[in-house]
Amino acid sequence: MRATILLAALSLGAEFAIAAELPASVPVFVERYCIKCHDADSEKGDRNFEPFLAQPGKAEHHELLKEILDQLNLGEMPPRKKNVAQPLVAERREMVAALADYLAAVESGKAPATTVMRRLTRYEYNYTLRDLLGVDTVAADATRSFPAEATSHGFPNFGPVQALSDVQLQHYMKAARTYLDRALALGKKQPEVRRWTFEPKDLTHEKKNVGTVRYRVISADGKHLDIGHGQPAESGPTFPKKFASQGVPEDGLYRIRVKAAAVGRKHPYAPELIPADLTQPLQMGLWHVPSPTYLSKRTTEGRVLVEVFDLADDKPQVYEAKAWMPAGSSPFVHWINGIGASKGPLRKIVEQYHPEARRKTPYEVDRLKAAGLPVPKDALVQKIWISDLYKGPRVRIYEMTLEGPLHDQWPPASHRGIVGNETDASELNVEQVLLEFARKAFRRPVKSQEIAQYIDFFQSQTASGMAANEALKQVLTAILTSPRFLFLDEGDAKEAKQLDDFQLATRLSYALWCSTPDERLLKLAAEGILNQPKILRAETERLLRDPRSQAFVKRSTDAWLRLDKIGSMPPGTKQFPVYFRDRLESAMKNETYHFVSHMLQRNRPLSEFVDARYSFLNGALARHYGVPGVVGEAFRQVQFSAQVRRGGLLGHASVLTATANGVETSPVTRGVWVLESLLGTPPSPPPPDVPPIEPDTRGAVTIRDQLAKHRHVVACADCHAKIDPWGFALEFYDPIGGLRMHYPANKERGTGKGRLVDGSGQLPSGEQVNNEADLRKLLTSRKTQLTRNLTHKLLLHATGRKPSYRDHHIINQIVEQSLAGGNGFRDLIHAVIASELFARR
Amino acid sequence: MRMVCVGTNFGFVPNLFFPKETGLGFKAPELIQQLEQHRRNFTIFSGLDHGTEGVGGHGGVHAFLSGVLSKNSRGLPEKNVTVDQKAADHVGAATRYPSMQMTAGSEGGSILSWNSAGVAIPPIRDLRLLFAMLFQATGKQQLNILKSAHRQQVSILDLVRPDARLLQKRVGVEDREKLDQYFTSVRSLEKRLTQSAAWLDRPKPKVSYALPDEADEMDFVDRVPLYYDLAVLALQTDSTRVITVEFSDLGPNTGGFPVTRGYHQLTHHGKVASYIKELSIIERFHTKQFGRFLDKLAAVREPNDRTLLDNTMALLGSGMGNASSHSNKNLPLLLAGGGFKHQGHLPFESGETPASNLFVSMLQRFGVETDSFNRSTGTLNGLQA
Repeated sequence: MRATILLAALSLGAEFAIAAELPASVPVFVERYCIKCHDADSEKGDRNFEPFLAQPGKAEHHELLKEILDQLNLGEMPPRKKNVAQPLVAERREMVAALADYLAAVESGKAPATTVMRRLTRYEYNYTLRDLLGVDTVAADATRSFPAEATSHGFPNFGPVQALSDVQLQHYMKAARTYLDRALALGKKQPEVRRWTFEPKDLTHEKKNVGTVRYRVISADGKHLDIGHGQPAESGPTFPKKFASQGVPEDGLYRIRVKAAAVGRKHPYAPELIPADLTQPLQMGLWHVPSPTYLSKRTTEGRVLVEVFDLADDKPQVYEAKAWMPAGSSPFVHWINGIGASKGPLRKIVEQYHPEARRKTPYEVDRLKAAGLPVPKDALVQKIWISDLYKGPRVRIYEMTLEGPLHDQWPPASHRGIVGNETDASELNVEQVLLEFARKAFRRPVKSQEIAQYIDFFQSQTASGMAANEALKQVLTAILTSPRFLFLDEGDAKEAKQLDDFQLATRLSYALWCSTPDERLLKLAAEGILNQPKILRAETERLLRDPRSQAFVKRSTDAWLRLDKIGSMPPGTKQFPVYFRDRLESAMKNETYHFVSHMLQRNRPLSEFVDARYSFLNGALARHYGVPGVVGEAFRQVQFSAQVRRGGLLGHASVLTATANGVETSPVTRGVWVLESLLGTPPSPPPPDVPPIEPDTRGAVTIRDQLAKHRHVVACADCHAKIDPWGFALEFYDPIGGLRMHYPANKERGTGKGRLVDGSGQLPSGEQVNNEADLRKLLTSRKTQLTRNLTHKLLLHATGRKPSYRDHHIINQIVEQSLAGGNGFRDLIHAVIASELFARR
Repeated sequence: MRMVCVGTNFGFVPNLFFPKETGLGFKAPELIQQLEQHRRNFTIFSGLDHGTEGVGGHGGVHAFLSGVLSKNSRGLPEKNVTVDQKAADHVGAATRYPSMQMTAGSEGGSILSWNSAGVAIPPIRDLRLLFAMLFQATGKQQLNILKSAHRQQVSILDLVRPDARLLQKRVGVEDREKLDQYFTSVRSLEKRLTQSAAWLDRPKPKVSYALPDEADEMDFVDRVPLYYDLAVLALQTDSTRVITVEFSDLGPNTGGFPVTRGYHQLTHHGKVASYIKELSIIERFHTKQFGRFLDKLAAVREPNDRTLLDNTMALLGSGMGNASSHSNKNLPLLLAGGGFKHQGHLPFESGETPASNLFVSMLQRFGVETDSFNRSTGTLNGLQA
């Protein structure tokens, strides 16, 4: 049987139709190995192949064929069960090749799968303006109110899902103006450097009676202020009170110094009375806020964390940081890994250790009287300050100073970069300034006539009385609102054309820096040599070595591993207090970024994504993992001992948190994650109208039992058999990635020993998994798939389009080349960028 | 006519929300008891949802008022536009704000309002800002700044058009769609700027209402009534005719509720009675506050001699059917006022009728001439004005 179909060519330029022939071996294979379960009667997994066998060549079966190819690649179908015929290895391989070729041929007859024009994502916008204008876009992020972005499986830089509304457009316009005001010093003189010194008495502090004790947080001599035994909430901000109502007078870089010490980390009280991790140094968080409203106790959004300092015990030291602060901002500190509210612990400590500091309550006095006992005269008076007796841990602040705005030159570098030394726009050659700015903003040379409307606008506005400085800012804002800036111009789509050199420069820099190309890239593009393989490779190397490539690590990792999901459903504060106290959310993401960055910089083999026996931890995370010997805020590489049940990405708390919902874990979600993020074969979504699993937290039924039941439902069985076993082994980790042998007995508090975790499962291929170590082994044995998946993800990140079957051959070459050559991560990135897929629209 | 849509992120426990009996004589379940005083003035619909678009658990909640998931909205002429925004388009420039979006949450739950470009409209949490937008007179200096900002933005929009045309000439079909979107955005922004510029010169209404100074620092339980207060005032002064209010997370201090775990955690109650009991504290609060809102609307007499409640259709509901099982089926939906002939509990065969049919009926009542809305199949049988 030989089926021939004619595909109408949809491509705009092509007028010919091409014929793709389905090799006869395909229906033969399906007949032999698949139809027994996938006939009209059984319809396993909702798949019926009979219509396909009746008319194999029909275009409507292409989706089915893609699924068959996926399953063969994955080695999961036909399932290894008794009475199920198995194809020979060679047969399987042949079928994979035949299907891939056929599907590629089919696609090549369709309109070329090209990149749909992308607009800058929010993060790309910020990185771009940072580099284009030389402004700080982190400390005072002008894009904070941008609407949330749609993503395609975590990738926001995928054209087809991006929307642009009038709201978004207005946000772009306003953000551009905000950043331009920050970058330009038009009409301004260098502001004087000022210095403020705040003594303890200038900082927020309390001195009062609370219940039966009284305390003051400033020592009697006024020399220091203690955070840890009396502030209503120790995690609340300590800030210069009077100063904060005005804040710093000018935008600019400020130096903040805090003289501080950790005291009482070793204390005489019972350890359980102090709810803080005292194996770690006490840490002081230094922050700033744009206006006093952000200092109110309950605010969390909109504060900027400058740095976390590990405080030395007892010895006062000066801790220093520099921060870019907008006018009106003020700094504050707090005990960032501290005890939260101190009232409860303090009460217990007073009762057990310092009863003399406690006055009697009127109720107790009444009782004494009623019993006829003597009542001391001053029973109701608080005589002793508890703060003078207290020996528990505290963060001690001696002094805070603030200095700035610091400018090493005037006009500042950001201003020079745009208009040069002149600060009066009426003295400028505006046409020249605009040509140069538009070249950088549009990422390619522009001619005067292309930007005529901008030049005219400046001239007509100034002619009719607008100040030149203002007119210039408006024109620059307009350039930053132009679609030529907001969209990545990747050329002419009539055919899947080669990018020109400027477009290539743009694609390269947005791939590796998520930002605009620098002068060197634009220069190489202008010389027309960037597309030379040697130069492209050298540039790729240069960009990867540049610190700006951290953006690549962070953003591509967020999308690839779905770390973007972390924080959308945070865990309960009562169930997982450490998640908040130890800032595990940012720590766990940082672990993964450090790890991916290491893989990249050291060109480690991809298998280490799965089975590395090391990772990057700070003190809080090490404690979360039960790894001894790591203290402090800084991350460092840690080699895991044999006992530590961590290894590869599957042991990262970030991944385990992203695949839980903050309350419970689900083997299904985690199984889907393995299939989608690591193996690149996402299962199809559940058919509509299937009742979802309703978790039963009474403990009577485990998630395993529920899934077993679910798998008995025919509609669910086949998919879940492919998904769940990947997830069962990860049940050893709780919703924030902590190791557990038991489910908690008390789910509310997450405490107690409930049922034992059972991590066992069997894949349709017959492979048995009992725990995460087995899982790692299984995954490392799927090296080809891991490599192919990562190649796909990298291509998607770098080009903004999904590789199609048409690209199969090129991708295969990349994969084979990688496997043959050590499978290094950096090499793979090079191969992706050197491939013709990267250079094509 | 006015329209208010209140959406909660986690829905309601179904058996505490849906009566067993149909018609006006139902026995009110726990949550509905909280608005008993309005029994003849609302309808509870059961069996309505968004069918195959109503999936995705938490990720499906945002389809509440559109019946379309954002990810499936491409290719639709009006994307996943929500019912309130269709109404707002109808109002146009007749009020200071075509619509207002409020939220009591800080975590940006699942946004209720989406425009016809498929873009979520961020809601405003800040009560003081909402109050200022509605009732605070704009100072002369501020007015000038605003006016010049408007002028600036309009002239910038003029400037970027040639660039868009330049690109349009040489890009492909799909890219041209993107540029069309850009042009549309430019045009609608211009329209919006012109409209709000016209309103700048008209004085804002004066009200005697005093918003507490610390309004925005208060616990959830204390803030929620204030959003409703502002909504009533906004409608009464005709500052807007379309409002959405979103309730998602409780914020700090578990919102001031006497509960031992978080709202989201409680919704995963797994049928444990003690958890459901705590959850019902929060859910009762929601229906009670909605009842209080209806009280306030009913107390306002309008120039047409009807109450503000008669002139306002107020919908309470969620895109979540059952948070415990992450189901987006059988959505909780309660429609009050609006001059409809209300009928207590109006049940529908599960899976037969899209919830969007209710939105068609609402839009028609609002005065929009349409017989369809997104994936609707008609108006809602049995609901009449």
